[in-house]
Amino acid sequence: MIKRSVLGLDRLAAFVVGLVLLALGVALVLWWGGWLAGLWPRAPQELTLQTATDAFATSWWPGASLAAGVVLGLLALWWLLAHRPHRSTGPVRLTGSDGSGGLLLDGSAAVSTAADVLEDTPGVRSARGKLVRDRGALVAEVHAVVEPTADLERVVSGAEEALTDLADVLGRPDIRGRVRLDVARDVRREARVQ
Amino acid sequence: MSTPVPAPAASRDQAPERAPLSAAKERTGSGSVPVVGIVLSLCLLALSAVLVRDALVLLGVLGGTPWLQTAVGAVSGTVPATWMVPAGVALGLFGLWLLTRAFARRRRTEVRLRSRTAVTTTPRDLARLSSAVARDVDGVLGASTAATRRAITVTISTTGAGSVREAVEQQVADRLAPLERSPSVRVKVEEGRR
Repeated sequence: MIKRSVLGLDRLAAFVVGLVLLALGVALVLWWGGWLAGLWPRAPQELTLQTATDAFATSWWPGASLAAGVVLGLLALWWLLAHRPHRSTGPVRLTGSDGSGGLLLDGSAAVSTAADVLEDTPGVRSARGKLVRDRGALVAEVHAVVEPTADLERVVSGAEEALTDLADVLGRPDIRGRVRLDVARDVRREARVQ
Repeated sequence: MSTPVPAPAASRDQAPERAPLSAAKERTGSGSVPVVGIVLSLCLLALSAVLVRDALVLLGVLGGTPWLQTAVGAVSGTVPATWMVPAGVALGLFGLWLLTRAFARRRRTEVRLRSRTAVTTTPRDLARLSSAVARDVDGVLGASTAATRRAITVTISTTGAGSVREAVEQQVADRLAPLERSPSVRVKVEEGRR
């Protein structure tokens, strides 16, 4: 999952670029029809881009171009790389930690164990879990693959039991839980014993 | 003098009720916003590369002519022309599309099951469950399902037995009963394959 702040930046950029392109498109049509002068009395008859041409001729342009290119390049690279899904978390500090010492637990290992517990529920083919950060909260996320013939109530009950054990282990009420059930494409046939 | 010893039964009564981790926020699809962000960041990266290249050309490090100056030279002197109408309309429409992406709501992609924590699945998985249920009903030769968050449509081919359709509808509804909001279930019997 991509960070919400990065998605916000994407939306802002889409808004700004969309607005500029829309304005440019409308201006092109208005200019062609001769209606632009009605809205903007200084509308030119011919595009000159004199300001840009003058800037290219100055002594500072090469340096400014280089600096702007490097800054924009770094910004673009950061923006691009920020789209990598990155939600891993470090060790979880357990309740009972104080000035004399901290009790740390590998959260993902604990969630993975909860997934192993869920796997024992009838109808669950496999399950895996990890601790992730989602919208400012720590979330124990478990993905389980269930048989197409699974009894959903039984699976939900198994998930609740696994997350109850996990809540006891973590002892952190701020950590939330989420179990996603994926249904297997085909029913797994039991091995036939001769 | 003896100190009173609390009865084990009493301490059991006072033990807090065990509960699973509280439900995490619902996962939502981010739609095409990240794709727009990635494309725009790549455009920014390309622009920065052009700026750096032009600067190196102007500083004498690289050979050739600056691309920005060539582009500005090509655009300068443009006067209103017919091609501006389709180009303006295309630019405007693309800008409008970007604006709709900027304000697009996040898609809800999951359905929740009744639970003390968050247990979810997707319409695709409900379709697989429904098809499996339908195939187990006497008289059904084959089944396929189309599902959304609110409606399930099971298409079956039957041996021609009388009340297969009703039986499938009932059993699918029963299997999906643990969902927080039960979707409507519709069963279609494929013509010509009875």
